[in-house]
Amino acid sequence: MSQMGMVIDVERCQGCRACMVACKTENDTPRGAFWMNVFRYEEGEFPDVEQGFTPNPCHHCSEPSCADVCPTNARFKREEDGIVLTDYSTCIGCRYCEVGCPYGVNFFQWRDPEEGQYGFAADDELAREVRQNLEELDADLDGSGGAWENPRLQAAQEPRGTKMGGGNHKVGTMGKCTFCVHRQDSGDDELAGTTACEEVCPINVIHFGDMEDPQSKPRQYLEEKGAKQRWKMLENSGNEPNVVYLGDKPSNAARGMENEYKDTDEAIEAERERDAAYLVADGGEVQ
Amino acid sequence: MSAIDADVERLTEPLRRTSSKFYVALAVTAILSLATAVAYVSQLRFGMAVTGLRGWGTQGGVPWGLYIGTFIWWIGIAHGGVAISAAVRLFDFEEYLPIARIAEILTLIALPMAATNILFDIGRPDTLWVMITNWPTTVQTSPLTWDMTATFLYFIMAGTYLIITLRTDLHDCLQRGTLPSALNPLYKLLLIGYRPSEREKSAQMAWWMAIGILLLVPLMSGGVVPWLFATMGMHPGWFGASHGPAMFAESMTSAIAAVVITAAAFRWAYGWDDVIGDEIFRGLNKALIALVLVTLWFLLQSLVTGSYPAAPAETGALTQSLVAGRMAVPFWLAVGGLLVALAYLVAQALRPSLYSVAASAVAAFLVTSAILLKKIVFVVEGLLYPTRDPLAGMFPENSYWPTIPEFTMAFGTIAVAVLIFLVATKIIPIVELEHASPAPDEAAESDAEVTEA
Repeated sequence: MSQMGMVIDVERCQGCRACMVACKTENDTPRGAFWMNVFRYEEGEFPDVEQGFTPNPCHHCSEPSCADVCPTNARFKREEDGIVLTDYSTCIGCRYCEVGCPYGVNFFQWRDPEEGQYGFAADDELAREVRQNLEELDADLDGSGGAWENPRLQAAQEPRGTKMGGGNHKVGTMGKCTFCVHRQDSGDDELAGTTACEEVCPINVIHFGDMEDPQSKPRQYLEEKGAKQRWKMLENSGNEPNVVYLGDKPSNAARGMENEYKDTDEAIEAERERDAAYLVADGGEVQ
Repeated sequence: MSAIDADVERLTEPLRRTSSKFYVALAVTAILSLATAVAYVSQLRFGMAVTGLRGWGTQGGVPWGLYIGTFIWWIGIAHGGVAISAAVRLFDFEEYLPIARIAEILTLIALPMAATNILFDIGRPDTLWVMITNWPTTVQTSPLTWDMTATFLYFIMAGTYLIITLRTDLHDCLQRGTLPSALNPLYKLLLIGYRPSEREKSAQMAWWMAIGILLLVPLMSGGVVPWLFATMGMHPGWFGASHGPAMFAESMTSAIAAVVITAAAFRWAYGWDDVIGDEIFRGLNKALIALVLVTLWFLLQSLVTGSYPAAPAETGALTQSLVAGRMAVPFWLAVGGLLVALAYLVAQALRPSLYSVAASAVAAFLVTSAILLKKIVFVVEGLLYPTRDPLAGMFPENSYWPTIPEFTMAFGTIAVAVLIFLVATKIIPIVELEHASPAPDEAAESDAEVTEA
């Protein structure tokens, strides 16, 4: 038995949010969905203000309350590696997992994924034009198909043999961090055992691996940095999270520095109103 | 001497005569129901993005709102109806017999309306059948599965109960020819295998069914439904053992109010001043006084414990937002509605001259609207503060305002319910005829027989 997890060294984290961007590109999540999210927070009063950063992916709990409340078993914990997954084919979209999770890491597909991403639906005339253009572009290059898509995201995952990776899942279903399950199941040694956020981090804040294995990356890192403060988010919640933080824990008085994130609906609306010429331009001019 | 002081002819009048009032009501509710359907189709077409719901956390919204609030309200209404009817049967509250079947039908309509609001709330209705195929495992931990199970069970029991008590009436009416002949196949179906001798047996069955129903009521309105929320330990607004009894009190309050409104509507529409008599309304008003007081008492509990300085931080913040913060307007509107209604109900109890059916109906309307608002506030307040510090302080604040499609669909289920009720009055006798006095000519006949003998 293994249990995948992360050791996140917040003492090193500079809040650059490269992991958030990497997660979005890797998993193709729509606007407003942050499967990886880095809190930028501050504590204290002027002039004694301290600033801190805390990445908050899904904690892939050992006792996941989201899976308990799921009325269809769509949200479940995979036995072989302890990753908590969503079976998009049986999710009814009741959002109970989101309500039942204390970490705020679930993201519902409020609209058609392409519309949520680009501002127009898949069957839109504009979308067809863009797609055709990209296909031509792709044929010119190597012809592997889908230059804009990660083909691994379409793959089916065990144990159910249905698609459970990627943020481009069908409208009306729930998504969240999968610990890049498509990488773990890819059969590619370079990808298995890594996540996009971990890989992109310029200062090695994130250490992903099997928390049960003393030889794994995260366990080795923990051993090396044994003297640092070690904590888990909402440790008393009973969920038994598998993300371990090293460094200062945000106090209860920590306050987020963003009052709100950029409004998703406005961003989608802005995209929808763009000139078609901008979207179909073959990799050239940007207006 | 019969329990209902009216003859069968008058009580089956809705089945034979249709007034223009009826057509107006039918048209209005049909149009509103159509609007509900159109709004739902647009939600299916464009996704749940048409609602004001959003994810909590970085999206700063709430994932449950108007639909779920309206769902709890309908479940509550469903419990009052059949509970009244079952209590009438078990405890021989004969004076309430005229409204027993009205109350039963209210239950049978309210339950599907509750389910419809759940349907509105889920993202993929096409996948809903998975809830049934996975039932054996999900029932162990999922409160939503408990809820579905209890609702099904309750619907089947209430439906069986209605059919058992209806068969004799239908048989008698068919004999007399007081039923619309166009619906004969339906009546034949309901009367399959009917023998006049089953009367006694079905009375016994109804009695046992009534016990089962009365036992299920607190388990549902005060059990599985509040447990959807009260088991969520990370939500300071929801977690707690008292939500069960509190929600049960609220549900019974709004349910009795709904029965008052429906009974008043029938009395007005068919001139049944003598059938649904004043003593029924006075009695229900008395029950409402007690229930509103209990509801307010539970409210006071949570306000006092939440306002005390030593309350857990999030509970304090939540109570603050109810009392004087962002949720203050809907919260105090709900409390105010209850208080105004209570003032009238107490006044008419002390001074009988202040009593009127119309005013009682208005008070009942205030009560049930206030409870609906209270339910919506309850769902939203739990999601405004859905976690604990330090996470709670690092996420942006959540907010929610429903959109027009949401209002249309959630409140549209009320129009759908009225529409179904209107249609039901044209299909089955709406007052139990078994206890009514025989029609005048029949009475004359039986007298004649006696004389001959």
